[in-house]
Amino acid sequence: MLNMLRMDFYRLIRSKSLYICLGLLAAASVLCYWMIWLVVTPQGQAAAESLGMTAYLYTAEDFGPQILQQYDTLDMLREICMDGGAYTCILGIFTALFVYMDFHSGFLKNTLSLHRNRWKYICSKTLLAALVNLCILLLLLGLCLLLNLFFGGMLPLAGPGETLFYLSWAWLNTTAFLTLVIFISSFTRSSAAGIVVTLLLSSGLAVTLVAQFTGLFGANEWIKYTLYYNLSYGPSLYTGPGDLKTYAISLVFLTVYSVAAAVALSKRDI
Amino acid sequence: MNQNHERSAAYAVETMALTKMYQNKTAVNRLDMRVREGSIYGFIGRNGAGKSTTLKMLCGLASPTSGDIRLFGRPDNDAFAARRIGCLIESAGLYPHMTARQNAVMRAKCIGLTDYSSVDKVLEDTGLAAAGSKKVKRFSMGMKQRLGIALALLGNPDLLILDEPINGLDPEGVREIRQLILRLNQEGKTFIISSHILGELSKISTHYGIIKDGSLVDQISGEELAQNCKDYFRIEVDDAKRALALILERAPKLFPEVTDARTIRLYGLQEGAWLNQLLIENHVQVYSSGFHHMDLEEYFLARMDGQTMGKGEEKNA
Repeated sequence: MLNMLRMDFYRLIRSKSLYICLGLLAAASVLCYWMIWLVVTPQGQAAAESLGMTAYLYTAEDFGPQILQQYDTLDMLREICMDGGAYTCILGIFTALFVYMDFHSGFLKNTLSLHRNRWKYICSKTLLAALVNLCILLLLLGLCLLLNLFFGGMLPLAGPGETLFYLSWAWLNTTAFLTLVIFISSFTRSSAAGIVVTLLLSSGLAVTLVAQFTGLFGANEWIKYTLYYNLSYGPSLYTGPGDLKTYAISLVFLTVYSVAAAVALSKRDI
Repeated sequence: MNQNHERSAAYAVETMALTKMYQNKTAVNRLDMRVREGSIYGFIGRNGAGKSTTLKMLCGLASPTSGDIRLFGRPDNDAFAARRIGCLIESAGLYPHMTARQNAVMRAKCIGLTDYSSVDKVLEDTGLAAAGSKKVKRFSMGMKQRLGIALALLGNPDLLILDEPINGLDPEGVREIRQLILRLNQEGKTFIISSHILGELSKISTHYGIIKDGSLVDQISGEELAQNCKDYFRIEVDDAKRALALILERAPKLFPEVTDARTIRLYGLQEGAWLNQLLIENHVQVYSSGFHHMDLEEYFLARMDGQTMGKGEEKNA
């Protein structure tokens, strides 16, 4: 399994799509920080005025002080790409393409003729997703802190305990989502299916539509047990054992999707 | 039990009643294949006969519906047995955006190699040393096949399973791959090669397996094939029935085979002039006559038609 992991890392760092993903996340972070800077700082407001962004000045008057009171660097990270699902969307598409290429290129034959236990293949892919996810999350956090510094430290820093708590469950949650993408890609062996499922689920569209329907019957409590809901509305700060629910939900999904992916791969010939 | 193990160990591959079904269709039907260690096993069959499915099952890419596979005397799911196999099934599985060397390094990492000098060696062996830094998407089909073979050679496997390895290769490439296979075979490696280019296969194979509709109809050694493909005298006449009676009256020890109403094959004949004279004197018109040698292709086609070969013997290994 570790040999497969080594092999995947070798391919990963030579994959253009990884750098496109990182570029998109970095660009989103820079843009968001710049826009907040325009709203909350006098220098930013002056810059917005000089650029003719008059509508921005109204926003600045109304929301500028509010943002400064309510936001810290962790909230900013969540707002940039986590809560809305942009992060899972970008990483999900990347994962779908990465797994799909194994099937499409036929290289999987080279791998599975050697490592005949297909559970190992899924475990290595899940482990790869978890590691890459962790690296990108940490890079993103580092970039947010750097940007905050660059823009004059406009937002207060989140505490280390708070950051660690959030990052740990968000990492688990997003890894579970990526495992779902691995399952879909292994099951359908189609990049289109993986991308469509990623878009529908990471944006919350599928969950919202189904919740709207079940809500007609007064049954939409289930939404609180979805990955999307937990990632969007999960706690930033540990306040009590109830906050650990998000870990449990992520772990259950991670296990279920991993098993489903391994079973799907084992049942079909290559 | 020890005896059984020793008997199995003599075979690189042994299948017992290997069967693969897709819904109601039987792709491979109770296949008993035996490939001796150190042999080159030519696996022959028409399109859709079940060759690739069999090879996929040997490589662990398809699960048998029933039956057993033993690789070097061990079960096919044994990790050590799997490590002794290199395969090229259907097309070479390659990442197009990576170079030839990077693809080979990927496979080397997958095997667990840390010294990549073997990567350069296999690229050199397959004539790709100069193209190592070229992206695979710019490769011709023949170059991809060569790279597929290079990948199969990585890790110094004892058994190489090659499905149509010379597809798309130019004549020079075919010769190079043939020489490579023969050289590796001399070093003790076993090969299972499936190919439609029977002339090429007959130049290297030491054993043959012929599959038809999922069943192994023949499994013979090169010597047995040569025995079955003896020279024969082919004569085309206006009345084969009368000609046959005349011939057997004069030479009862010959082995005749009437292929149609006008054609007779005679095995065991040394000289044909007297035969022509005999028939002409007896007013049998002779349209053509001459000695022929049955090659692998003719043998294969005859087996596909369900004919028994040579002197009418059914030779199953």
